Amino acid sequence: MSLAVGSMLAVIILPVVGALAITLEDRERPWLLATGALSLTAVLTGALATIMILDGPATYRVAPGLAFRSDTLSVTIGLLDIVLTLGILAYTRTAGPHSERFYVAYLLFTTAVFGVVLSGDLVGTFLFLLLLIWATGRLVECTEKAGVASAARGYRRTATLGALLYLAGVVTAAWLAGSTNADRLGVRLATVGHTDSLVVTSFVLMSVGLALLVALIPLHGWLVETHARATDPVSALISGVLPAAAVYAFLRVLFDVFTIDFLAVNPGITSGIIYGALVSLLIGNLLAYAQRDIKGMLAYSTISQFGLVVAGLLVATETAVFGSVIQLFGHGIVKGAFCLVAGIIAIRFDARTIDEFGGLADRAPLVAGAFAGLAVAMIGLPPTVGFVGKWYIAVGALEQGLWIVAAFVVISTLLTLGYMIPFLDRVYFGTFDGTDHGPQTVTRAMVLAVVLAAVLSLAIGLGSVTFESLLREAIEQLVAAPVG
Amino acid sequence: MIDAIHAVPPAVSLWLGAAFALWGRRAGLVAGVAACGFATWWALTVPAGTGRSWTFLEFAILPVAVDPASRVTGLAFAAFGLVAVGYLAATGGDRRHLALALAYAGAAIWAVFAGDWLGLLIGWELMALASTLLVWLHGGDAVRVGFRYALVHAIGGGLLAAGLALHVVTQGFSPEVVHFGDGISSGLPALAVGLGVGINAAIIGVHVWLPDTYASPHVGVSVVLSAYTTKLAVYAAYRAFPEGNLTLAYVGGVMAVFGAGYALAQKDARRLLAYHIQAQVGYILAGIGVGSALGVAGAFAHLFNNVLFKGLLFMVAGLIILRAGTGKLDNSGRLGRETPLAAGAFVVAAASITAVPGTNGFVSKGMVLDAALEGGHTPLRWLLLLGAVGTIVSFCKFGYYASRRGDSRSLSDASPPQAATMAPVAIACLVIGLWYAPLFDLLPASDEWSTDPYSQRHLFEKVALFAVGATAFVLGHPLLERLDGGVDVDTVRDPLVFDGTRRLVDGVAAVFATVASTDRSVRRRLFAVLLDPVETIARVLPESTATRYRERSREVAGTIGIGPNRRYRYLAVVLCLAVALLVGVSGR
Repeated sequence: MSLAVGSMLAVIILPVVGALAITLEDRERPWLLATGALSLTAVLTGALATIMILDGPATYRVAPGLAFRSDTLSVTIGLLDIVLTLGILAYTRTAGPHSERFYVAYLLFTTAVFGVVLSGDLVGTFLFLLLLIWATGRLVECTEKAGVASAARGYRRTATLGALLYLAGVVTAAWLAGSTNADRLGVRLATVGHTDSLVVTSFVLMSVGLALLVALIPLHGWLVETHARATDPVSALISGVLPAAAVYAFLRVLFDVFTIDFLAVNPGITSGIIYGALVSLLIGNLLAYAQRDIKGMLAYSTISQFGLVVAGLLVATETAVFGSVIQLFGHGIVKGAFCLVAGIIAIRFDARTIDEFGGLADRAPLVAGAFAGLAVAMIGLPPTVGFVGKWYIAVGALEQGLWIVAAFVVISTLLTLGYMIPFLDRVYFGTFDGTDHGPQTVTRAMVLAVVLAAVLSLAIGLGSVTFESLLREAIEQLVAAPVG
Repeated sequence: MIDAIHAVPPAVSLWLGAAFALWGRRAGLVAGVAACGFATWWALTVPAGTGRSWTFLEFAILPVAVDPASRVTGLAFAAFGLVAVGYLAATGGDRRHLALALAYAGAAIWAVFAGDWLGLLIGWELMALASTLLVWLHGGDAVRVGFRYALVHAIGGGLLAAGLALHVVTQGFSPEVVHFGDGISSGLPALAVGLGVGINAAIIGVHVWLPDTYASPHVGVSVVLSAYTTKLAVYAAYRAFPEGNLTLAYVGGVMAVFGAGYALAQKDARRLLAYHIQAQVGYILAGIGVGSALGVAGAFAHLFNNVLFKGLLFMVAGLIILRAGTGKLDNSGRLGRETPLAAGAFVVAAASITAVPGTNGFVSKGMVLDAALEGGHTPLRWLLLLGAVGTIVSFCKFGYYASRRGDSRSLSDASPPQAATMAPVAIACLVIGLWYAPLFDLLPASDEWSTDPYSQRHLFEKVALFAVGATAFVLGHPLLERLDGGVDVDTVRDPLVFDGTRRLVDGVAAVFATVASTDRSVRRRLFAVLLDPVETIARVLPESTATRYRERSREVAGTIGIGPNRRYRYLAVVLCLAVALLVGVSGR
């Protein structure tokens, strides 16, 4: 077992160990244990990333139906997962939830995301998706707000339906090709023939199942509801990591199992998904316009962003796929931090809707500054990460002659600007008219976490070229036509 | 090649200083002086060449590129930053002033040492942002002026960016396309860039922001502002047209006359000086426009000198305003024997700007005039000479009013800290006027031109100009006084200049209003259902049910309030599957 495999398994197992420790430990310090487990996981993820950069991808087969493999792409999503879960811990320390249940679910969520990302087998992915759905439901329930139980129940049922659809697709493919290992499946499906009706059916089942988990319109209902009902740190995970994991699973299915050849011979499906994603982007943006509540706005903005990411993946050039990946990463950080900012504002000012946001900048300049910085990144102005992602997607689309995708990149930027500006306008130029519980209600660590995220969004944007050189090899392999 | 310490753009040190300044005024002063000192040292010692290139998107960006033009401009910016920060602190600027001033000067220095248009544009926009905030800090009337300033610079920045985009398109894409190279491609790109730069350089017709803005904010802020924005614009003009451009030269010539002419009509000290900025920028543009080695060298020498003496003039004006409480020259008290420091500084600065032999203005203005003569641009030369006469007359007037007219009480002199910031500038003006060789060594293409500032012809020319100027003032000053007996010139000029602007603004506003109202009606009709389904549904329900329904829908943001919508979700999944299968299996 090489170093790479060791750290791969460790990042999956460590949070589980942490969760076990929290359950067994009687003393009331789940936060500390969670932080310890996740910090270690973060270190190991860093190590894994370094190994991936230096040595290239690694695979490890545990049992039939359970295999792991890792490359720089999967590590990117893993990093997003761990950065966000660690950052959110800084927030939950004082703001809560404090319960043991919450932290157990929190750690299992982290593991599940790592599992989805590192799994090299479609059945394994399904199992981790189920764990992810269970953990997310648990996280949503961890608050006293009204209606969370029914929201969590609704989420579990819908999401499980999506996962089952995905499983149906996997079973179909396995029946055709006799394996569930992603790489082997890819080769054997090619021999069955990419235009075979059953192959197409299997793809459709997997895609629709995963599209539901990504929350593309019209399958987005669960995201809006859980996002609005859950506490802010959980919303940060739901917006930032959950769809990203599903998109990653989709990316693997798309490029490893069905390959770019499948897209080439099924133009109806390719353009169908692109147009579907663009519709998701447009409607998500328009619905975000109608929101007075910041959480609602953030939820619809997430939906529209993922429309863009999926459209970029389907363009299937190196440039566009890189754009999608960096957009995925950047959006996760930015949106996660945005949810925390919303939480901070709600804690200190009891402000949830745009009408209550007036004049916050005078009272909380640092938080308002982070708000503005994150808004700029979300709109996608240079040189933030939001701009870089959109730029590469647009350039990649133009390379393929898909000008409509490029046009939608611009349209989405303008629409995002349209619904962000009113918030910024209120924050900076409105007059304060509400309650202020004082700066002591918000800890320094909370503010620091969101400010760091804003800085990070800038730094990733500026360092995008380094990012690209690290991911280039993995993406080249991904979009290259398979040999033989 | 450039070593490690020189590979870091000096702007970073100023921005760090700005961050320190947020701590407090004293910390800001120390950090600012240290940062500007470092930047000055950096500009003096950095070897010529380019630093590491750094790729953003697909453009190769050069954060550090040093040649004589950027060195001399950057040196002027950094060195003047030293005294400007000191003056700002000595005249009561608080930590916000200091932080923004440092951020602003840092942006200017960033732009100067950037080796490509993208980097310059970033600095350009940051400057516009920081300077607008600086103006706004003063509150009151400055807020209104600041809005206009922001608008003008947003348009200028937009034009510049558009011109650069056009330039990239005409040149064809390559990572190095944004590097300065041989300037902007002619035609539309050159026009757009020229206009964008021209707005910041306050060329005629788009210059109103200059006297308006520089006369409104805190006096220390005026000093800071006077040094950077217009000078960076001139520097950018050189980058855009390194081979010269005759139109630019004549625009500069007309600006010299126009600026000096309007300056004559001003009674407000800072407005008068602001018009002189326009005139002096005219000289610099003329030198760059002529494009010969001597012209460019003269332009940059004048740029360097102008930063010094114009800054000093604004310092004196600021002092008068602080002491007298008004900038109106005919209402304020007097400078004179009781105020040797302020009066001395004024005399040196006025001598420099009117180019009295022995001052730095004399040296560099002579170079620009020579370049016009050498290039055979006789009309340009006459314009510049006329501008010089105007300058002399208007400074006779400034001096006359400041020392002889108005309130008979004498003003109190500069405080020691204020004097400490003014004295070095005054000394530099005199030293460079006499010992100009070090400055000449810094100038572009220093081996391709030569000049003897103190030749007989130059001196004779100067005497003639002063004779004409003094005569004009003595003869004309009763007339001048009647002409601009109060603020009348403003009211004559304002309708002319402002009406056009106002029409334009009205037009733009009308267009936007139309767009907005169309948008509103379209939204109301088409998207009402989509955007606010809850209201649409609630409207058809009976009153009591509607209220309950609204409350319920508000519980979960973003849903239309029908339970958890689970049935709808299942339906959507089934529909999606059906459509996808239809498309996938039978769609081929």
